[in-house]
Amino acid sequence: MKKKQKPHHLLKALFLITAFMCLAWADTWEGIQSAASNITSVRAEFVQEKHMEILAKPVVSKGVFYFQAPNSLRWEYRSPVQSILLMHDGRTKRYILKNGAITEDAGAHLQSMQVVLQDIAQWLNGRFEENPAFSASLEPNRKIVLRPKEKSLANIIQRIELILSDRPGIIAAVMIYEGEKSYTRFEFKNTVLNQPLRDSIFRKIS
Amino acid sequence: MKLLCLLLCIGCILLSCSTLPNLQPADHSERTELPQTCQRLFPNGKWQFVHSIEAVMPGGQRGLVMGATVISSRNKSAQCVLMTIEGLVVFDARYDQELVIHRAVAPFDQEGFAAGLISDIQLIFFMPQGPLVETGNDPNGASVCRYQTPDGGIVDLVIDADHTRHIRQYTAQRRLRRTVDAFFTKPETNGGGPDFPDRLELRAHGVAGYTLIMDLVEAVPLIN
Repeated sequence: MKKKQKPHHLLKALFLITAFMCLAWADTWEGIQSAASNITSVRAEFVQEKHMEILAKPVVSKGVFYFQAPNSLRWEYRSPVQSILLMHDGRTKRYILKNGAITEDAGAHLQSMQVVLQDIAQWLNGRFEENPAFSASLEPNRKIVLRPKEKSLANIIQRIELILSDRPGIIAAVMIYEGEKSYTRFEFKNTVLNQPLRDSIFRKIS
Repeated sequence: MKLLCLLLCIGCILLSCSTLPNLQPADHSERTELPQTCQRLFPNGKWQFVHSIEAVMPGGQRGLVMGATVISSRNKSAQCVLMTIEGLVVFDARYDQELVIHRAVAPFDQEGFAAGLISDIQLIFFMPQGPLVETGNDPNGASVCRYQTPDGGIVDLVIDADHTRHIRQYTAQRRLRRTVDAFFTKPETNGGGPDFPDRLELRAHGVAGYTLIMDLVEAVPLIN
């Protein structure tokens, strides 16, 4: 009877060790960068919720993103609007898909989005401390908080919180706070790491 | 010569389209019903609307933002938030007797933008201010409720025979200033609830004219 329990205990122990290894990856900047250095590509679905005091319920958008190290990103919204943002070779373009037609979005806010996308690419590379505009702090429960250094930026973004997954190298959620009652939450799911991605994903919209 | 005639014809057509049309008097039953029908074109109570807004600027450049608007028909107050698709708020203003701007990030911080936007929101969501001065049919046969606004301008609420709706706003000089066309792509609710257009197209006429194509994402009734 006792012999039969041994594998059970062993499994428990192995599970605990693995869990601690996973938890430990997000305890230090070195651990995070080490885990991120193993990532060559990411594909994940996301749900974006915009919360504001005036909104009776949040505005929800859904989509999928692809990342290829070091700096290629495809950020694709599928509902309620269809929009694709491509970042590749230092260039960023956004396209709107409407009634079967594709048009390039020439919105002036694209430039600021390019900065945010470069940040996202840096985060996925584990380089949370490299943006000179933000100071980064590592907090308990696998949380990274980025606070703007300049007051002009702080007037727009109060802070950014990143919640790291228990799976090494994965970001579970991002919250961008514009005020205490105004924030955007991105939740990532079905994350797939290190699968080969076609180069055209980052260059073409289809 | 032919080209000159063609240009003159086009000019005349454009001129006739952009000035206030005369109305043929409505028959008795329509005169009674039409004002109530026109009143029902606007949301009643307090509502939250979310639209995706495609702006087509002079020169054909296009940009897309999300717009959240909370309106109250009782006191004609409105709060409007424009945000990027990624959720970053670029404009936040409230109008309740006076305009208060909470946030305006460039290029939405330009002088006159906030007042213009609130004016467009009022045109789209609220009954025109001022008295109903005429009802009748325009040259296309559409039913029209005509209101005179406090600034001496005119707002026509136009209902086509197929029930599509339009708003036409004219200046005090009777030049066309704004048009709003409402489109319904989904079946109407047959009295089960208010019908809001799935798409609104607002056109600002003039030299620096622009078009806003607003697709309804959701309409949420709010408790006053």
